[in-house]
Amino acid sequence: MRRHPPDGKLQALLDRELGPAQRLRLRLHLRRCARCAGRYEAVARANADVAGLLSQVGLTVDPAEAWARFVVRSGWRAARPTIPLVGRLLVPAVAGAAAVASYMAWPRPHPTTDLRPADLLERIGEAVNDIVLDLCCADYDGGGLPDDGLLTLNGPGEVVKLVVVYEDVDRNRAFSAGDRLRFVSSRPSR
Amino acid sequence: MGIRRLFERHYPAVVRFLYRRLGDRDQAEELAQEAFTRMLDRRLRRPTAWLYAVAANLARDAARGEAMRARRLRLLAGELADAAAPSPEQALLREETSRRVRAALVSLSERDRLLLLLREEGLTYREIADVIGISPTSVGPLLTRAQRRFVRLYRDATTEARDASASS
Repeated sequence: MRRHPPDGKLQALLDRELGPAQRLRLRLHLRRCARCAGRYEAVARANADVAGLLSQVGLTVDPAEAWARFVVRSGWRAARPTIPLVGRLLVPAVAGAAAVASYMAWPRPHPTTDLRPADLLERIGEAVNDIVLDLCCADYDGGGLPDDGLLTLNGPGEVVKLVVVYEDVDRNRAFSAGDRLRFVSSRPSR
Repeated sequence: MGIRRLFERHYPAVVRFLYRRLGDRDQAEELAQEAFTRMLDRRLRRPTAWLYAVAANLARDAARGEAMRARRLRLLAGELADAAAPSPEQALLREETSRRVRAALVSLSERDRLLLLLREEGLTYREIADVIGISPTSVGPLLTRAQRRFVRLYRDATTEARDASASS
């Protein structure tokens, strides 16, 4: 070290705030430079003076008693067990995976674009034992006109497995090939 | 680190830090509890620096209050009265030293005071820098100057007191 270190550097050495290489360089310099060694001692003395003076305004605190007061003050929130980091990460991950799996397992609504009213009528016609309920007409889609029909399909004693909302385009007040499908949904039957 | 471990590790130091700033133990404990309450349910990257920053802000706000000023005057008056009352010589000397130390601390700038008190509580330069809002490399030089000012202020007060007692 060619230059003499500033007092701040000596203070950092005293406070163990320097890296190993810097510490070593500075120590070597202090060994060779009597002036800097004297300055280092002066900084150390000032530190000791400050510590001595501040100890005059110190006090002792009982953390156990303070903790009890803190728990009450916090409305017992402070006493709640904390979940470790692994748990904090794992719980949302597992919950998320379960939610995705559940969503994927649930039967998707049939995209109305894939299905024509004629196809649907054919399917309904094949299910000869199923009960078909066709309610027409009302404003099911909120469009302001009572021109929507609601059709449900279920086997005897079974829950509804098909729900269709259609627009009664041909105004025959029943589901027919000329109507427009607005929504088709199927649910698993028991 | 859980709140309990943080509390056990830092509470006494935070109270001491606040007491040295405010000179009122009850208020120091009250503000330390408030700082830890604010810490609840927070996930902090550097909790120590955050805690001391909050404590320092609370102390600053408290010191600004008019009520606090009045209270400090009363405390000071009480201290002076105590000092005047007959008591063992050592206790008197300690009381007087403590008063001068506090007066020297009060005379320092906010930054110098924080530097001294935070370092005294064992915070690293990085933590001190976080609390004060300076670069960690500035802590060493600023700390050296703050220490010199503090010791000088204390010595000046001691000399003045000696001169005053000698002249009376």
